[in-house]
Amino acid sequence: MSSNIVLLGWEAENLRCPNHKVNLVRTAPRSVYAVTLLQMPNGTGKTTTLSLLRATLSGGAESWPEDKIREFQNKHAKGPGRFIVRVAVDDTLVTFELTLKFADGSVQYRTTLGAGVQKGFKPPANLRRFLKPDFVDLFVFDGELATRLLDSQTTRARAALDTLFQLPILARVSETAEENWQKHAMTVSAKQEKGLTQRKNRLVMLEQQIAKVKKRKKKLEKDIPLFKEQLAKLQVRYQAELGKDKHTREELERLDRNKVETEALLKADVDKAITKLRDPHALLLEFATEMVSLKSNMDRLKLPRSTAREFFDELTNELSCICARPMDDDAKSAIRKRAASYLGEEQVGVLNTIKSDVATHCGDEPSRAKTSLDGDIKALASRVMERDRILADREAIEANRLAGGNAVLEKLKSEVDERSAALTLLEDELGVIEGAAEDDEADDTNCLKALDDKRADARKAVAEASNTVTLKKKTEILARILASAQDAARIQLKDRVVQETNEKLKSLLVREPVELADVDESLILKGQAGASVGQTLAVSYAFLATLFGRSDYQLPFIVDSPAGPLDLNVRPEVAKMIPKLCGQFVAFTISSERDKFVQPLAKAVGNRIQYLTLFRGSKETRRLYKGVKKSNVQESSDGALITGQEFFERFDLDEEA
Amino acid sequence: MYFQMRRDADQWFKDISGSFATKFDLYYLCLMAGFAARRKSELESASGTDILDYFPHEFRTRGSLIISLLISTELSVAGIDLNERDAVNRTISKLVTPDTTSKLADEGVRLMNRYASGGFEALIEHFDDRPRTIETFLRTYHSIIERLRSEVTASAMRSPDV
Repeated sequence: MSSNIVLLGWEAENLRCPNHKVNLVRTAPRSVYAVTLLQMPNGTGKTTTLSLLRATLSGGAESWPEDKIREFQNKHAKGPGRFIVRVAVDDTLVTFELTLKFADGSVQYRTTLGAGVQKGFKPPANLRRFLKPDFVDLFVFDGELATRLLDSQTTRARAALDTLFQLPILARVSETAEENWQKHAMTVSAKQEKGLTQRKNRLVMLEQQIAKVKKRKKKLEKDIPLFKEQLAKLQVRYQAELGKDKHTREELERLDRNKVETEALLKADVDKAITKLRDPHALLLEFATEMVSLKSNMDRLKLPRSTAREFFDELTNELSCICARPMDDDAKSAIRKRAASYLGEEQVGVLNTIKSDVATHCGDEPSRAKTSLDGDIKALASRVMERDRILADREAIEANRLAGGNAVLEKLKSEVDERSAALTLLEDELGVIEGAAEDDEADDTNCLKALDDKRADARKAVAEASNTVTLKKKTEILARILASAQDAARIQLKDRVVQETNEKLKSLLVREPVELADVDESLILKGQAGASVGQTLAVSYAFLATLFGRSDYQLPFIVDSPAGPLDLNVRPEVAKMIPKLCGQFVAFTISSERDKFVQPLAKAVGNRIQYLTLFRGSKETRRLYKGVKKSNVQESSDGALITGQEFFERFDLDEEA
Repeated sequence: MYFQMRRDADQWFKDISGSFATKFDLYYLCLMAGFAARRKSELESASGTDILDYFPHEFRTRGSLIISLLISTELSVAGIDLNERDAVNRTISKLVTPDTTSKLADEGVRLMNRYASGGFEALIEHFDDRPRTIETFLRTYHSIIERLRSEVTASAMRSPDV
């Protein structure tokens, strides 16, 4: 069943962005604007607003620590902060309200569905799978997410595919069948089989351990990014304190510049070495010698033989051999046996290709590739030393400043160290949970793979003892069918998504073409490990456009700086694609993004576009909207929201500065 | 039949895998270590993950070279002299086929998987710890491959009859 999810608007109060109320619905005819462009100059709280939109729509703020909650506080306002988002699901109105209580560092959600108000974040059942932090990130989108879609260390792309096409339903059916078997197995009397209770207890214990470890994994996956974020902020404060003295600051800046440059060169060295490493003969001179020796010996022995196996096979069908003796059973058997040591015609072709490739790559000068790789590895080592020297110089400056007895600096340093150590512990713990199983894991291990194996053994043991083997086998067959259905569905969906994404990319990136090869855990590009910022964004747009376009659910698409990192020549193409991407597009922009983007976008959606400009209010900024129709001005205690294309277009970059 | 990577190798390479364009790169690194050390080990299907059944784009021009190394390593391990025409022919016909994209018969892929598995074991033994940074890994790997081959040569010299 298809559903249409529409963002109707939001309100912000007492937060780091100006108090404002955005309405995305036009009055005549009453419908949502296909495109709303919200221009917010730098420093107005664009990131704050987007973070709060995500948190309010996903329930994600419930896991925020106190200091993160307080970061959203407007220092000039009293009372809690409030962010309200209104959504329509088909014809039902749902309102999510997030209250940030800065005094005690807590948050509270309230959900209004139709006329009923409920405490907490309570999205209706059909919305639940979309309104989760990971998924909300897909439709409240920024450049960081675009990078994550292409990051092989994350599973965002696959998760998006799974969620949107409801693939996990198959796994849930499988789990239900499993629960059914367990219920049967557990109700069998212990008297029936010796040791059954013991086996059941072990299975229950393993299930509990798995549930415990999975819960912990979920918490770690939530906590680790938060720890990283806090650590990054602490590091910024520490670096600022470290560079308070002008001379030190200049020296640190110089070293940081050198470090960035050296690391870029190091990355190029690494890529070069990896490419050369793919030549086996570059790794070891003996490899080159062995390949050449194989080839030349084959040449000398005239291998592969010009007479192919097919000749002897045909010979056995003749009445007499080529030596004129009659072809009796003994002769046939002997010839067939020996024919096996001859190669088939096509095999001969393969072998000739191999010989020719060996001659091409290692024939003339077998040691050339090796010498070249050796040189590259040596250059890489020098570059690493250069980078390490820069780091050592930086550490020496740090040590010097710390030895100077600056209490603030020392405190920050110890906080950074503590937080880093805590983060490492959390990452290690997650590593154990997700890692490969050791040979001798105990039943209370935290390794999920080992626990899964143990549970499979325990289930088998219970099934054997409880005479539910047949049911267990049927359950396993069903699980296999469902798993293979899920795999087959994923493969087919992937193929279609890749094909359609590439169609879109062809028209998007004419000058800097890039092609999607696969959607594995992340998006994989054809023939290249990385992509430019513009390419990354274009690939993400094309992928999400395909995904959203094929789904039964219409979702809004809210984007931070939709054109920012794009080259001017790509902008009009992306702008033209946006109306096809979704039914509702809300973009947070700055004035520099108007060039080559807004006009083609407006042309593509006709008059279904709304222009808004939000900025901080003060006596000085009032002159900016002098002459604007009053009905188009919404003033609040600390900001102004102006509706209209004319103001939007003349709002200048200079004013922003 | 698929090239298969040991599951424990995923974990071992996890900090540096992002630097490589394909997972086959990691398989290749293990395979070359296996060839250098002339070492293979059994890989049960349950303990491996399927990667590809063809040489990926990055290795397309190197597929033939990898196959020729498989043949020469296998001949050497089996003690077959390159002059033994029939034995060489038999070995090749077992490993190579025109019917697959990789040009390797099932037996050829199975054998490659065993060398990659043995090579991974050799890497674990020669690295002090699992690799944390790509730049250190590349330098260490480069020298370990040389060392693995020197060990094979030294061992052959100690027992010339083997």
